[in-house]
Amino acid sequence: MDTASPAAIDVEEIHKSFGNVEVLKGVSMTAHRGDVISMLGSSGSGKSTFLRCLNLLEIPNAGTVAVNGETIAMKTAKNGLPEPADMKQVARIRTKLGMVFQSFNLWSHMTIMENVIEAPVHVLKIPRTEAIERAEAILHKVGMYERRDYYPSHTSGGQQQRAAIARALAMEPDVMLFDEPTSSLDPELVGEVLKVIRDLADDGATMIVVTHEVGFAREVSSHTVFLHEGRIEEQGKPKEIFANPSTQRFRQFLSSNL
Amino acid sequence: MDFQVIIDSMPSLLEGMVLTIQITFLSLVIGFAMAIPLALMRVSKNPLLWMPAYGYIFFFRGTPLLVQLFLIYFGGGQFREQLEMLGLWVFFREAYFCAVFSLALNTAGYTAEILRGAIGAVPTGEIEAAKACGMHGQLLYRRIVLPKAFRLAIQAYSNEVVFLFQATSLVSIITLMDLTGYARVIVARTFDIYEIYITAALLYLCVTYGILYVFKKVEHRWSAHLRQRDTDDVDEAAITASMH
Repeated sequence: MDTASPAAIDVEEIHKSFGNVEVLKGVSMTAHRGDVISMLGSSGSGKSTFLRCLNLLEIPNAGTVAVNGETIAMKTAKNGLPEPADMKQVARIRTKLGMVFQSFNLWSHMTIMENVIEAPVHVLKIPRTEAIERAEAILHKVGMYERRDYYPSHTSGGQQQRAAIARALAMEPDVMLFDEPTSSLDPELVGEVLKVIRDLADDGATMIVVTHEVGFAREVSSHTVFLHEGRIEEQGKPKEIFANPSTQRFRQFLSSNL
Repeated sequence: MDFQVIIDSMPSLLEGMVLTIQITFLSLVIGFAMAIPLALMRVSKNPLLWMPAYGYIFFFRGTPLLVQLFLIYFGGGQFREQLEMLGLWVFFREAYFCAVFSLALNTAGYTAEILRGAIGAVPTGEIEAAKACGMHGQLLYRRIVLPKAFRLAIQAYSNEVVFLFQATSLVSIITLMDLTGYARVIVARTFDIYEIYITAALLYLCVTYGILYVFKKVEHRWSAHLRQRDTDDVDEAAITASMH
């Protein structure tokens, strides 16, 4: 952990409501370089919403998000709700946060290779040949090199998710955000995706992983956060809190998920 | 059936067909160029943008093309002085210009509506993925939203192109000698109504087939991801080996 430089992600008191339902009731979190934070919680606990607030795919109703010490500037829109003050800043910060979705969300009309080089070429303005070289190396790493000229629909779910991870990695992000990366996969395909994420963790990548895979969270993460009804119910080093849950809810969650 | 009259009138009919294709092509190009900004305005949340686009589309879909054609061709004459002052009379006095102008305006309305539907059907997840990669505004539309929308729109658009191609026959009413225009003149002279019109109809049919063929080709090329993968162009053995 590197505490001298600003935190990779620093989130203060995020609140988020959908209509009258308050999904997040003040959640804070700090991820330093090299941290692997796993977020657990039953469905409806707000963990996916929280992750989507980090790159402003959801606009929080209150709270601040800072990436590498740079706070995302917000202003109040005409309807009284906050909105980003500068979409260019948001777009720039998003390039630092690689996002992997539950349902992959690969661009279906592009091949795997095209998916991986799209943003580096058109957002980061990297020359195409260089982007392809970089993409080839990343695709090798996630075991998708041989399928680079396939369309996503011609590959399995596990392969699509590995390609989606490659697409996020191609931006050379500072933090990787995983939104339930294995939840829409067949059980036998979960392992190959978890292995790729585990390898990234071993390489020292900074990651926030929202997951239902309790075993994975325990083994891979350096810090675990348990969310319940929009609040952090329990958090700490996985070794400690999995062995000794201090709250009833986390204990219940663990017993029903093991 | 008098085949001689068909053979004799063929050169004139084909000459008319050239004008028909010309007018169709010009109107489509101009109409499509207008349809993209119109559709983007239509999906905007800003009322200053979507309301004019809504009004435009509503007017051109809600009134007959023939009425629009008359409004521009005959209506233009009524405002001759004003148009002369603006230097636009040179255009509006030409039936050719009025025909292309009204057909372009009309197809722009229909095409914008087709595109609007297609833009709305682009999967949210794929748009979110693009945003998460740092795309926004123009780049997001140019690279992800529009290319996907065109793929979703192409079938409906091929319909619109065929419809517009047939609709050009209306321009014969404002004195243009398109395929229908020539057919009418020849029929008036020879009274071989059946022979001439069936020939004209068959010529329209041939070109329509050509249009549909081109669209089928484009659609095929654009939908590789929706078909079963052709396996002959990959080394399956290598892939299987690499998987283990």
